[in-house]
This record gives sequence, structure tokens and C-alpha cells, in this order.
Amino acid sequence: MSARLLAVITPGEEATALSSMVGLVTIARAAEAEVRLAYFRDLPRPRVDRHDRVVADTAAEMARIERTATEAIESSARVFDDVRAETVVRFGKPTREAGLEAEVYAPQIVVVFATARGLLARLRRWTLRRRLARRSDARVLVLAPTPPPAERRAPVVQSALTPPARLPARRD
Amino acid sequence: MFSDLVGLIISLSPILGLLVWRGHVDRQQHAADIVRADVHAGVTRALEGESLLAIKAQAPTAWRPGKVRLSTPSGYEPLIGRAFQTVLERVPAGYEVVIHCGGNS
Repeated sequence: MSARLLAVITPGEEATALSSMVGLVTIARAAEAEVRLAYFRDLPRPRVDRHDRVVADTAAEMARIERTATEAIESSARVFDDVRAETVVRFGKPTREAGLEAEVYAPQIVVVFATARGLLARLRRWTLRRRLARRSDARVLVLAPTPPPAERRAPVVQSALTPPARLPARRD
Repeated sequence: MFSDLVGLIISLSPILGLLVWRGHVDRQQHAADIVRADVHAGVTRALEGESLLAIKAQAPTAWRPGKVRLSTPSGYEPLIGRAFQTVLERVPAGYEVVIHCGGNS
């Protein structure tokens, strides 16, 4: 039986998850694991028009979000065809649903993405990690984007071709 | 006499508290350095020499676990894959593994 890897994607982490797919696949290859990319979303509200008429109910919105998320995630994972990956979308409270998913799927490795900015988002992420670590026997890994390099300093040596800042006054 | 003693204790307690706290932080950092050295030794053995895989260990605090951060330059991510099992074996409980890749790497 091959190992199982659960990648937890919560709202706000979609871009990081897509850009960190290389790292995720690297881990999956090393562990010889099959990957489940699980996207967790709050239950969507029905979409209404400007006259408050419902144009898409919750079920239709869920179907739309599921289709869009599955397409986006699978298209980025399709490049790595040597790793078995499946995408699932779960609706509900992300922290609770991720815990349930970890319990049901019973992965050996759980990967979470670190993009949270702000105190509340950090607290939510910390709760998620705690819950995942407590609920499953899996090892929790964090995939984080590399911070941008520090801004380069301006060159110290000034080019001889650079004109002086103040030209001398002309004497005619 | 007693009030003098109480006053002395009260006036010294912030300094003593600070010293105790600093001692605790230093011990935690020392433990993190040992973890880093252990992981580095394992990675060096797994990759058969020094590599471009950077390892950094952060000591745990009261409100967050310790962290072992792995990062590589862009295009060298397979190094993480080759050293991944060794890192997991050597990282103790109370530490989490953070892998930096993608984005700006």
C-alpha cells in the first residue's frame, strides 16, 4: 500500500497552493505517496441580483465553485503525471472539515500552506495545524513561499557617463 | 527589617525574572541548534556532501512550535525530496517542518 498525502487548501491559500505544486510533488515523490488535494470552503450564499431575486442557489454555487476549483487545481497538477493526484472540494467550516478529512483519509503526511497574514488568519492557521496534528497520526508539513530577496542596493560606483547633477552656468 | 527584605525582593524580582527568562530562551536556542546540526549532518550524509539545501532551526516558544525550515534555490527542489525522509526522521516532536519552495525561490 502506498502512502497517502493530504494537501489542505483553505480560502486565501489558493495561489500559494498552485505555486507550491513543485514542492508538493517533490514531497509526494520522495514519500512515494498518492496525493489528495482538498480544498475547503465555507458554504456559499445564494447569489442574488440587484432586485434580491435568487439567480443561483447554494447548491448551484457549490457546483460552480467545485467545478472551478477542481479545474484550476487539476490543471496545475497535470504537469506532474508521475504522481497520482485527486482533487476534492469540501464545504463547511474549513478547520472542522479539514480535521474530518484527515480522520477519514488517514494520511501519513498532511501538507498545509502558509500564507496567512494578519493576526486572525495566523490564529486560524495555528488552530488548523493543532487540530490536524491531534486528529491524525500524520506528520504535518508546512509549505511556504520563499520570501522575496531583499532589495538590491544601488551601485556604489557612479558611471563616468552619468551627467553631473548640476551643470556649471554658461558664460557667454 | 521585614519590609526592607520585601522591598529588596520586589525590586530584584524583575531582574531575576529577566535572567531566568533569558536562560530559558538560551536553553531553547541551544536545543534548536542541536536539532539543526543533527538535521544538517543527516542531510549531508543523505546527499553525499554539502548541498544547496539550506536548513534553519527556530526554537519553540510558549505559543508556537519550533520550526525546521528547508529551502533551496529555484530549480533545486529535488534536493528536498532526496533529503526529506532523513529530515522527518531527525526532527523531534514539538518541531514542525517548513519547506520553502515556489513563489520567489
